[in-house]
Amino acid sequence: MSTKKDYTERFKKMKSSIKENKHILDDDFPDDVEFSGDPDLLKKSDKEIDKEDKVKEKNHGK
Amino acid sequence: MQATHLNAENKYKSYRSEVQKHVKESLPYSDSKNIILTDITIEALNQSRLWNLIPERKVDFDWSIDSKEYRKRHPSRFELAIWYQNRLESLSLGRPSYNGSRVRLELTERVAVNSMLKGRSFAITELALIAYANLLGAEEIRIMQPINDSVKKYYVNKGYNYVPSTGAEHFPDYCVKKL
Repeated sequence: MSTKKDYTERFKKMKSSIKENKHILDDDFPDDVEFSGDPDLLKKSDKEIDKEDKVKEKNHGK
Repeated sequence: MQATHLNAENKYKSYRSEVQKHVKESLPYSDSKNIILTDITIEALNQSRLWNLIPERKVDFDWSIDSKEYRKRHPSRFELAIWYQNRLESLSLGRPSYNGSRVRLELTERVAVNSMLKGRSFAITELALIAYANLLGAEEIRIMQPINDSVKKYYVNKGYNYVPSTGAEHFPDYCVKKL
């Protein structure tokens, strides 16, 4: 279970990740792109790659 | 809504709010003051309905209807609305995996015509996704189903690995990066 100390550490990490990755904001993402991803992932969530998690958890349990 | 679900909603809403605040503060643009980051609010959903009327729009997704179940089911979701002054520019949704080790971006869309942010909305979304994943303690992020080769190339050039679909149902392609 997460503790307050854990949160404080993660919060610091969140702030430093913004600093470290700020250069992303200057990169040239293709201007003509209006969307990325797939609406179907939202319409039928829960079934996709998280299956990997379940398989890993199952294997770890053996 | 059950108390535990409400607690989770409130907890992750406050996480997202922290991320939005700090990403906003980091924006380097001359017009940064016009850019506002929020959750997908009622106001955002109301404006998104106007997107359905844009003939040039390529996405078959009604944010106000089609995202409802997903947002209800995933309190720890990543969500972001980007505004330019009072105009909705972009919406994004994603979520952490069950064990919280990674966060995936499922769909991000910017307004189809006359966007003030064009490529910038994707960059802001990516930075917010990285920050949110770090706040959750995740170890990697995944950008699901990059829309075309130029987008794939963009992420690969920035250190992501491209993982093609296995071809099996529910295993789409994605770009992945360790945090």
